Amino acid sequence: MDTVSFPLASKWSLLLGDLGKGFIFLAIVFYLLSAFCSISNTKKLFLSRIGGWFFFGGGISFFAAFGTLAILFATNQFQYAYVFAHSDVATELKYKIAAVWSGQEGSFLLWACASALFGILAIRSSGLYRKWFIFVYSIFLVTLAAILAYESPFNINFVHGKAFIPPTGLGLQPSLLNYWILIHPPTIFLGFGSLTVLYCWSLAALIHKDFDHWIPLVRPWAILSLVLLGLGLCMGGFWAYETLGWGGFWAWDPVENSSFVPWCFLAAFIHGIFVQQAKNRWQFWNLLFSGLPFIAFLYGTFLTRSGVLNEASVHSFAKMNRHALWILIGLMFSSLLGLFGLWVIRFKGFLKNQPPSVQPQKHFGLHREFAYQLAVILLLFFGIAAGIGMSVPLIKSLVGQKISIVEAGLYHKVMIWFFIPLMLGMGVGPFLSWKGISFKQFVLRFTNIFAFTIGILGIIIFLIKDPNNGFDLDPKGVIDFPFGFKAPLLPWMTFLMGICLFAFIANFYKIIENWKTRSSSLGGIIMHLGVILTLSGLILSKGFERSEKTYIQDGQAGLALGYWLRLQGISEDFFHRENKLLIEIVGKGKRFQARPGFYYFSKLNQEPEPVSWPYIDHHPFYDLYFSVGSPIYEASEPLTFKTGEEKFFGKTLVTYKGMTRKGEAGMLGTKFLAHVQVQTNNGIRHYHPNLEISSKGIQFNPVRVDENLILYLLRMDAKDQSATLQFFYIKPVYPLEVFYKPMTILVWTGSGLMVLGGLIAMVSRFKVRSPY
Amino acid sequence: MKFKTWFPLLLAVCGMGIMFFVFLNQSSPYVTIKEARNITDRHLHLAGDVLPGTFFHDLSLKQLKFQLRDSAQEVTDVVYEGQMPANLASVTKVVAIGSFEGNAFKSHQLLIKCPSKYESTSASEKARSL
Repeated sequence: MDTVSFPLASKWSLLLGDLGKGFIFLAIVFYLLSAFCSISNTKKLFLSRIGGWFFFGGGISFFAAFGTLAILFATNQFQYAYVFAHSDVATELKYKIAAVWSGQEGSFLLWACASALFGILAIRSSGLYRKWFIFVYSIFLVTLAAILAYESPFNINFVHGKAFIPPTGLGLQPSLLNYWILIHPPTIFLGFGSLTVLYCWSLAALIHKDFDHWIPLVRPWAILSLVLLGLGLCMGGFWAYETLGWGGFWAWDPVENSSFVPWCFLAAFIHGIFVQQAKNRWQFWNLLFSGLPFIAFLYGTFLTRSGVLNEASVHSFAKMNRHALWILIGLMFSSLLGLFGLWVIRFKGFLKNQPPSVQPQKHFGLHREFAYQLAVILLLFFGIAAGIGMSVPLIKSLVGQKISIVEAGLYHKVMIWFFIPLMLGMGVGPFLSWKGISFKQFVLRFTNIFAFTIGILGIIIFLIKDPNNGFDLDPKGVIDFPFGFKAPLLPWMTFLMGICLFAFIANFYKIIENWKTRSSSLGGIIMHLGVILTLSGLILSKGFERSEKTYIQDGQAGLALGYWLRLQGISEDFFHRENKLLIEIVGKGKRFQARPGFYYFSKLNQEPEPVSWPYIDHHPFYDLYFSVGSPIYEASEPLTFKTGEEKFFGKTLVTYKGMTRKGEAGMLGTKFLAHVQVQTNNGIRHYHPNLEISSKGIQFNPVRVDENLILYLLRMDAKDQSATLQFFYIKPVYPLEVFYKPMTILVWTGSGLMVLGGLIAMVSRFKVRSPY
Repeated sequence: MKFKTWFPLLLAVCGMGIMFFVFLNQSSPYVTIKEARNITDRHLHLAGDVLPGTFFHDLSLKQLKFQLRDSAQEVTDVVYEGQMPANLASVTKVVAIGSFEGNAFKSHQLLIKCPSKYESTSASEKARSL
């Protein structure tokens, strides 16, 4: 394309970009001033107040930068490199706005806005800790703004020193064009932003040497953070399930783990808060737990954005700007050193001046503090395991070994060691008192729950073994365990179901108890229930999953998992984004139409690419999942023949008789013909696919062999007179994979309960007034 | 230090050590074709470029066959039996996971780079090339 024919960018659009950059620099100034004012002589109240205003101003600057970028996207200012890379004229407005956060630079800006927003909201309840809370928070946001100054979304593609506007951009990747990109990134980045609040509070408490009064202040924010991060994680899983076509929610990819690890640490912190509030213990551990999620997130950000994992993940990670990367690394290490260093320094002093605990009555048997201790340890181990797993490629490269990655199967083999005690703990924990219960009391308490568990488990096993109940289990399935041990699928899944069911029934029972008393722990128990259901759904849908591949073609049905699939047509046209393949499904007493999405996506200056979306047929106890692969036109491999040679193509005998030429060698219009004899049940026919010398190079002239097959001559060798032939379909063949996925409804229901429980818990904690 | 303090810490350190050991030793390595021929692990990661025009679907065996060139410029046949990706036509780089069986690399999983929200603006080069 000739850029000279492109219009020049208007002055206002260039000004907007400068404004955007200006807002980032303004944020740096505001936050530096905020940090300075916050630690200045705080007897001068006006300095403290102005510091708060500067903090607010920094946030407004970030929001303004975001708004500026959104305007650039909405008005198609493709002279900006970031806009060009992530948008095009045909993209709908809502996706143009979503494109703001679809790339490296924009997602950093989203993170900055989310962090700034939470800072503004939390500052009002920071109380005694305000001075150091604002200081630490401001320094962090200065650093983030500095990253944005280098990793800027406002850079223009100048051509010969001028800003030309291309007519369109590259657009978003087709797999991102769905509603999840509108809601998932903002949600999860709000979760990431909220982690800053916890870290800053922790550091402020350490600096201030007051390790108690911050806990009721930070508690509702910690729960909110858990809800947002958990919801974001679930949304990511749903997005993968609904669009990626591999039938799963979770793949232990580093991008996923970088959100999962902070969530685990956050859950550990929340459990630690319970102990500190009830027993006036664990003060020091909670100071560490509060800051860990933020540091874990910084580490995950480094891993996923620096490019070190480029060869080790299905996600492609572009390298950050070098200066921005060093700032991020500096932020990560200084956050880590700041928290741990201060923690160690305060530790000695803390031991000397340890506040008196609420002296418990003598513990006996199982008691609640032990349950929380176990929960914290297991949650930390969950997070650490995922963190180690995603770091393996980096560790290997640092020690000079070949890169390797941890596969999903290995994660499962390790995580199961924590999963089982965690589930048992979630079932038992809510029933324990701080005083403790004896073994006899424990047995009495849980006899009913165990009895219900065994009874319901028996009914479930009875139901799922009968295919007429809609369950379609693989009777030969096996599970791989460490050291080469294998176990049959059904008994192992029965065991896991039993564990999950026990935890579910125990928590459900506890909800009924707490409902009557309107207990403040109701929200937490509902969250437990949500976690149990979600994990149960993930285990069951994966453990009992069945799948089968088939192929369909216009006029040719395919069979998979007992269902016949027949292609009926398409809903729009192949270049329409809403186009669907219409496939009639018949089998097992059912008849319905599956409508997986399928269209060709045209990228700038490139060949159209096929894009597909799976179709999910939801049922109460299972999903039928239809995933379409790339259409197949090749009916055979390229077959090279010597003169006189014959080969079979299926049941068809193909004989290559030889080559002739029509016209003069090297002249336009000259054809090289292959004489091919094709023998089928219907008799013998002769064909002459040929290559023609045209003004545009070699032109392929295939021949139609039957209503659905054409024969191409791909190449000829003048020396030995050999020819390479290949058959192609006229109507493409679509590969389809059909999945049977039981109990995915638990994943959706569990996620909803997690959010509901978290909101209930959070609201009840926000109502607790701070004395400061 | 009391027993109640150091014992859980010791357990924690041992637990982390075990996890490190398991993950580092049982993770699936990225290999070249030459290395893969000598390893029997079923989860080898063979990364490389797909040779253009070599994709072929064997519908009767439900297999996808293609040729792959690794970083050492060696070429091998790959036989893939997993789920068919939708954007195969535009694929140039893949990671095939599996092991050698005979002369072909038998793969049960293909990794094809997918778009990420963290893609940076190297497209500025594309814009400038217009």
